[in-house]
Amino acid sequence: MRKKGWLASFCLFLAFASVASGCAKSSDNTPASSESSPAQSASASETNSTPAEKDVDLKIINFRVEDKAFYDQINQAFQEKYPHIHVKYDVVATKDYQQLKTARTAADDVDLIASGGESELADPNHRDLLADMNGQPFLEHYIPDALTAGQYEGKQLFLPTSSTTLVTFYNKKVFNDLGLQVPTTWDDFVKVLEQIKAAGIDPIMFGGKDQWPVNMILDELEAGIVRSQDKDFYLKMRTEETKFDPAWVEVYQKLGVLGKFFIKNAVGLDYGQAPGLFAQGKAAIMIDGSWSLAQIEDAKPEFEVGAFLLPGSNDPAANGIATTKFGFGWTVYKNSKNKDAAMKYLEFLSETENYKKYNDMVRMLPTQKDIQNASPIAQEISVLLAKQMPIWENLIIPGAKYNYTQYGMEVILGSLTPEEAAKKMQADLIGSKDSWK
Amino acid sequence: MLNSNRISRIWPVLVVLPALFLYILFVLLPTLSNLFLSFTDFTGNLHKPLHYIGINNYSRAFHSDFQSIGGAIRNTLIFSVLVTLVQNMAAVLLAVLVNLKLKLRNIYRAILFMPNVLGVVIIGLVWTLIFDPISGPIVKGFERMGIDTALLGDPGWALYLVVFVTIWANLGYAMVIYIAGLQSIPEEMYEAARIDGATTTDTFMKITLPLLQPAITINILISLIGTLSTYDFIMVLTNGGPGTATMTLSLFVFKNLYNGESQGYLAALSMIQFAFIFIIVVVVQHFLRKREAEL
Repeated sequence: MRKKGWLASFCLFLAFASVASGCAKSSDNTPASSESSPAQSASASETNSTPAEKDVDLKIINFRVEDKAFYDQINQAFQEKYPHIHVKYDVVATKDYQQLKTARTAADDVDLIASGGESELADPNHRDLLADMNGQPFLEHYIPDALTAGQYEGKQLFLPTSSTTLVTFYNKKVFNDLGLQVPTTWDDFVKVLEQIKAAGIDPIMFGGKDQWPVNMILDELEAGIVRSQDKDFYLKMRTEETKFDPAWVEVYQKLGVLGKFFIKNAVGLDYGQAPGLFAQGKAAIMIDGSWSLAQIEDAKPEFEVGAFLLPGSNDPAANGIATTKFGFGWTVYKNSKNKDAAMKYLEFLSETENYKKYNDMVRMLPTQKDIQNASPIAQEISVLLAKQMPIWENLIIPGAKYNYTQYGMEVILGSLTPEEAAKKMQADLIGSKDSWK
Repeated sequence: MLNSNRISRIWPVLVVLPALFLYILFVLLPTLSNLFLSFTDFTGNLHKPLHYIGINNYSRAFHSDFQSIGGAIRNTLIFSVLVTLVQNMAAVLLAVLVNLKLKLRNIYRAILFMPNVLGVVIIGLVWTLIFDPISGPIVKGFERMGIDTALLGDPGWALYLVVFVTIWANLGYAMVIYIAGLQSIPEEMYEAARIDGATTTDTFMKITLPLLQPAITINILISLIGTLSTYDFIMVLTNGGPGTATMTLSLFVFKNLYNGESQGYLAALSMIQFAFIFIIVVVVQHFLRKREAEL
């Protein structure tokens, strides 16, 4: 009897040990992970490496799930060129990315980190993680403005591989049918919206359920209203030389006006549905980012769409400045033991042929010299970029609270007046002073 | 003999050790670490030194962020009370119904339990389509009735619709616990009551409900703890909006994680959330246990 008891406990121990070891093994597979096998690499016919080169695991993390097909292809091609570098590419949804990044950097278990934009460089905690890319030959492919945006105190910490701008898309057929001209002032814009509404067509498509799309409207209005008058407005906020109240009252007022022209039930509409519905002709105008052009084109290829800059003020010159940001790119982890391999990977991505493939797939605005997007609407947007300024969100004080998304939505819903919204925003900013970085 | 006694004394400790080890490693240590981090300026970067900053993180939560947190606590309480009450009342009624000797009663039970096996994202997608404010079936039906609402985009409706979906998704689980409770009530008690002339309502109120009290206690505590800390359904359905109409405390903590907040502040927020849930659950448990003893 006792023997049986010991046997059972031994089995229990074995079972526990095997479960524990199973857990340990499976932990490698948590994010959507892809890596090419050494056999695949070994079979590569073309190689730049010498037999003496040491095998390296290049660990890459990314949040652009939608680009996975491109990176699977490019990783395969990279490994064929460099068989001694084994790419371990992990991609997770944006909402899980921060956690993945924190965990992997804490364990020094990453070499290349995808980044959402140059604004992240304002955060010293983020900057501290990054290596300087200065002197790398692949930087020569990129336009100087893009490289400057990725620099901090002379160090090239971020390599922007695409840029985006905020634009107002419009349905060319509706504009032609109603005899409307592209507006260049705020008053003209409101008149256009009224004429569209009078014709029985919903004027503005807006997917407000996700809340953040309101930021795009605020960003476009702000450029014409605030920084067209004072380009250093946000630099002076630390000293309270400039304040949201009253500067942003007009921004919120005009947001409230636009809210009256939104498609019915817009605040309950999913943002992801908006470009498709716009392409189906459910509204005449959509205030959005240039990244949506791919979705608009894919939803209805024959749809004739144009783009203009949202006129926030009555001064056409002030309204002619596009708000842009370098939306996606790569950073190299400072403590990476495989920096050479990481730089080789970036060099490979930057090769004209590979970059073209990437740009044609994501259909964002290119950051390399002499590269043009094939899409006609992308070319129309490029024309609007003669004058540019960064979106104001790139200028916010790291660690500070603004809550503009929440207040913007509350202005649209009518639960907050523009004056209250601007006051609250200023109060939140000052209230978070202890957390400013 | 002495050896055997010693082993039998040590044996329970030995078999508990693996579980205790895992509990300490994955629950107790992280919880204590979180408490420690809430008094620091931890940024999430382990290579940077930590600084003790006293109660600064807590002070910030109760001063500059108090308006947002206060609104989130109010929504959490409304959400939690509504889900707990309505879900339990509906689950008791359904449990009694599917416990009757009906034809196909196992099929009814399976259908009612089915939402529990669906993932949060699937439930969110299904109900987002049903509540679609442009072309969804509910909004079209309401339009015919002259009711004008954006459903999940309407600040007056959104929280109640999220409550409804949460109840729909969890009702089956509560029902199964009540069915188990019902099946432990001896049939003789009902027979005796009927012989004494008791009506169906009398037997339900005087026998079923009092004897179901242990199941009611468990169900209420499970749904209270679950709803006070829930954020997933709300995130998928409304993302806390419109405005802050459905922002609960858990979702507030979760969303701050992606706003670049310091991990020290987030640790403080989660400790506040823990204290909030702990106090409510202890008070409710005390009340329910007392009531059980009285019955």
